[in-house]
Amino acid sequence: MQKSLGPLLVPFGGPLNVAMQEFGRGRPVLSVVGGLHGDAYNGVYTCHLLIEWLRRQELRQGPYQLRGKVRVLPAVNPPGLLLASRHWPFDNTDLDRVFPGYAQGETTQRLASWVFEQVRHSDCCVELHGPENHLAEWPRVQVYHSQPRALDLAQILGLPVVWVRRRSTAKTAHCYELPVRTQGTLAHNLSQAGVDVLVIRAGGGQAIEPEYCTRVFAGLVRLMLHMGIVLGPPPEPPGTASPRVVTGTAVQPVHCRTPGLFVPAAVLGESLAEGEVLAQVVDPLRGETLERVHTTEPGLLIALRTHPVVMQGALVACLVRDGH
Amino acid sequence: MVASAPVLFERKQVFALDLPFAQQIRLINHRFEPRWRHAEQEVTILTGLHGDELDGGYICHRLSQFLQRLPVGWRLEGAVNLLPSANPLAGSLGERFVPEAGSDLNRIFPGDPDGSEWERLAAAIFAIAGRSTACFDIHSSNSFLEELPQVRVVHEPRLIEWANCLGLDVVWSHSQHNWIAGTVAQALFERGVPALVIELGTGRRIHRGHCERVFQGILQWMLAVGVLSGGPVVAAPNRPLQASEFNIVYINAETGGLFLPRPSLNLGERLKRGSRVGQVIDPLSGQEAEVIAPLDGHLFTLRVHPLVYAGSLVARLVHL
Repeated sequence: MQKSLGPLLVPFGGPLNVAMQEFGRGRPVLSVVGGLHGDAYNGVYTCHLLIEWLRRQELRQGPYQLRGKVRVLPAVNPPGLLLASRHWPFDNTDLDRVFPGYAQGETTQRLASWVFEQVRHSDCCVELHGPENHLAEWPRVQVYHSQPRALDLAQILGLPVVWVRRRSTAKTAHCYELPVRTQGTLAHNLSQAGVDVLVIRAGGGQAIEPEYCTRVFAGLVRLMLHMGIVLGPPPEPPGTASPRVVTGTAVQPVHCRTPGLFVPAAVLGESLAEGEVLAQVVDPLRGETLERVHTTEPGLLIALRTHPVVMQGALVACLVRDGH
Repeated sequence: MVASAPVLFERKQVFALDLPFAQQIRLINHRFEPRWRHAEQEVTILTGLHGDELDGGYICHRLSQFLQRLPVGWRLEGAVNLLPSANPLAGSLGERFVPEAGSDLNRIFPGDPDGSEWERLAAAIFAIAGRSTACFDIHSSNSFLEELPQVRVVHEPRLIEWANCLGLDVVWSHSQHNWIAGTVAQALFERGVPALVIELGTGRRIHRGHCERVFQGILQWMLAVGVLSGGPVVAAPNRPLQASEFNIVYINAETGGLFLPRPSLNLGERLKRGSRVGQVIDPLSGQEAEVIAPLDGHLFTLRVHPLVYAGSLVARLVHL
């Protein structure tokens, strides 16, 4: 069943449609939200895979039975997605900083309020995010430390990395978590409302990487099986048997020292030895290599910069230290 | 059709384009025809080819409201097309253009009905404008400059006469080879359709005073050429300043910094050679550079965005 937000009137156009699909009935309820940021196409495509699959099961064309409810909002920021703009294009608002929203407020607040109302009564909400800080991500799911049940659900997904995050981000800047204000995020507000939140990141932005999307989709099917929303056989491809559960202290951030063009020499998911070169920074004006960026400890490469222009000291990669 | 006394009025969707994520753009034409006679003349007034230029939307609204409720004694003799938002996607964002929607829409005319999506939009606009006996393309300036209401035409006697008829501040004529290729005006001229480009105000703003003058000017032109009849003869205002490629004075910043116009400076003012236009200051170094009028002239363009680079346009004069 398709529902949509309305009417959100825009100049020189028809009412803005924000689509929502609902499958099944009763409890438990799983919500899946994609496309909060206009560059997060992997999440939108993952929602497509999920909606197509759920529709098939609802029409009894597959081996699964629906026993709960799934709500999918595949594209929360349609104009941003249309224009490949991370933020709401008209006023450059970050939609994921205006939750829980306000139904009588600015356009983005109204939209956020509507989204929040749709998903706040879920047992679990999965957010499919794009990259942050120009880093492509080895598939990982992020949960709050204060939500032990969410940590169990996160491991069920079978993605390679489970990141346990403390809500206070004030003094974690030395590692991977940048000290951004999180009060306005959907995840923060849902966790305050008692909903188990799983934030998934996989791959880069501005593109669709079908392999990552398929892995996340299979993870969502495992999650629905575990929650009792569907009954049926385990999906393909199988998930990682024992995901690496890490906290901020297990992650080694890698910064470059010189400004220039960043040229990667490693791939996501690669195990790197100590002192291994993972990228170089070059100066194309003089034809010189300025820096070879290398690891200081052995570890698994879980995030790597995609944007080629780096400032002095830019975060370019993250590794999970071996032994964690 | 909505019948309003002697005028047939129809709000028509003349082009639609489905976009991903359930979005759509629709090109809307406000079409007016006289009820009792065959229209020999047809004028198209289009605006919003650049989505950050909004004065024209207001002018089209004024014209549409006026034509829908013609005062007693007025008669519509010709057909009128109003395209208040020619580039709806860019218009909804207030952006000159959106890169995903091609680059500048006003560089791909006459368009191509079998081409890319934006060439098809251009072709749909051109299909209406190209069958007209005259076309007005209304632009605002960008966000950097404010312009007095002016009209730009190819240097031809009939076009200059029509342009003068609008009674705006400046008529700026260009030789045909200096007209920018791919603009709707140039493509119409090639087709033999007289095109007048009106420019006023500032991007992302509506200047009601300027808009009102353009609205009145277009009515006056319609009376003069017989698209409308019965209206009172408007007293001819002062003859517009006549500008060509040879008497426009461009004043550019010589350094980077913040441009501050002289406090009492007003558009339309007559400046003496050597008089101050303003200054460019650099708050970091404390330097102040005077901006001076190099010749006598009437000020018709003035920078409203304070940031300037060396070479940024800060003012234009018509030298007479």
